[in-house]
Amino acid sequence: MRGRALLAVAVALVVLAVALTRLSANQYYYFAAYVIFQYVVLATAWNILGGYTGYVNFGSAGFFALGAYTAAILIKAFQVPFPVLLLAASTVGGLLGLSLGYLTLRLRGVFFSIATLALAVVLQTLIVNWEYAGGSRGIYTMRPAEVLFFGNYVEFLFVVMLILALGALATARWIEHSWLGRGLAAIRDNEEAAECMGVPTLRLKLVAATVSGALMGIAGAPFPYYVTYMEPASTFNLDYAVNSLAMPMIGGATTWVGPLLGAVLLGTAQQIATVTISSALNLLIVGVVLVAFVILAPDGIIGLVRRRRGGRHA
Amino acid sequence: MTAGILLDVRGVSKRFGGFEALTRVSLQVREGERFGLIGPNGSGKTTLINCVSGALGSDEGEIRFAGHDITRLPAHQRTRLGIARSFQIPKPFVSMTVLENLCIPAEYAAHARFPGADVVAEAMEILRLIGLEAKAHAPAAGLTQIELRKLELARAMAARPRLLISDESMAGLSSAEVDEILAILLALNERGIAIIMIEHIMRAVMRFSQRIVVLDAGARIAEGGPDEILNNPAVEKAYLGE
Repeated sequence: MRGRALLAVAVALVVLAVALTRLSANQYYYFAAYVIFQYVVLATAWNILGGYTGYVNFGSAGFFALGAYTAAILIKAFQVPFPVLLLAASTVGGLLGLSLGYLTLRLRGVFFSIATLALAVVLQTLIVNWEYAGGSRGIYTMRPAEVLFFGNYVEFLFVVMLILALGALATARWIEHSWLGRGLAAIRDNEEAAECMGVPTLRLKLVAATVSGALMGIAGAPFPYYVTYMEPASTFNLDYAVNSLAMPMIGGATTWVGPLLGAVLLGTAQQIATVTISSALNLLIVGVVLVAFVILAPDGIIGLVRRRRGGRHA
Repeated sequence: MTAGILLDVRGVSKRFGGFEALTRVSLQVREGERFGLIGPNGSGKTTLINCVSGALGSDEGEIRFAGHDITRLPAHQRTRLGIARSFQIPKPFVSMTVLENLCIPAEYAAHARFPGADVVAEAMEILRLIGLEAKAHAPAAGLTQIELRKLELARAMAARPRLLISDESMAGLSSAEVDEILAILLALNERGIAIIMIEHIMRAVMRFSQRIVVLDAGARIAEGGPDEILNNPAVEKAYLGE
């Protein structure tokens, strides 16, 4: 029943978004909303491995950029249609997650995190040295002149990213309420006990890493069309890695609502700061808020709300 | 194969670097047996149990369970076949309630052999048997020491084991609490579950076990009934020195 109500909300949001594009308001709003939706996808994806399973990934930027470059190269080489870009970017991201998982998920705690950080650096180095992908000079992507139904391409991308965000949230919510989510929670709480209680820990961790990687990859797929010019330094930017980790932690990492809250709040704050003060302030905001939350509310906003409610009942 | 042998450990060795923790240890546990495993600190009891449950791989030897060669199986598959253990230092799933803790093995281990069972009803029944029913919906993070020990046993039971390994479930408990855990283990055994008890509290092991194996410095030094073990000079030497 709750699931159906949420589905109705999701459909209503998409309809509303499409209706909003009819308004043809200032293009900036679509640009800004796109970035926030993109962070909903990234934060939700990070949370499947980081929040549900307890494996902190510092390499989100690598997954995101890999999805973006996959799309850019496919556009450059074959003029591949848009849905195929999504499929390809999520497949490549999923495979990267799977292979990273296979190589490193036997490592625990901080060692796994260091390996993910190294992965992002390796990927960036590869792209910088790959002439066809533009190397460090970057790569241009031409938007199609026309897009069906929508007035212009940014409005189309805005609706696409909203749908991707809703899809990511639905995936996370399904995992959370299924046998898979319960197994992942057992791994997060105590991996040795989980294995001894019949949970196939390695297999579940690989599933989590693959799903997480696929969602991060798909978040990058529309990026070449969004920016039209990509270069490695900004595509592999630390912003992505830090934000996709900070947003779930601020929102609350044990439920699908947490990354959504964190991404919307922090993403909006960053957009407002970019316009009103300066874009350099973004990471500073994240840093300060994250430190405050880690100290004052380690379970995020969701944890605060639960504590409030629990307090009232007691 | 002898009929009635549930667990058959043959010549298992385990080395950690240059240290030989187990040297060709063999032992057999029968269906429904109450089995005691004792030995001084560092004698290899927990290492042996880790090799049997699959937390560690053994370097040498063979382990058979209910007719299957499980020597190379990962731990979760051994649990599905029917080996469950409790941990010496309780390892609860702290983000879950007591009931949810039991649902993990019920769903992941017992379900493989007993599909269609009502996971929650079964977990509640185990909690009733163990005496944790009142705490079913309490967070596992807030339990007392004895409740944590009971949760360890209850969670292992939820996997519907044929062999339950109780690794020092009584260490640090008061005398009355030891009796309580002992009564629980006896009740579980009455349901036909073989139990390996690892314990330093001699009073409990001697009362509980039908047969006892003694380890010292990674090797088996004695086997027999409680009385034989108490009167065995090699055991006395291992514990007290000469």
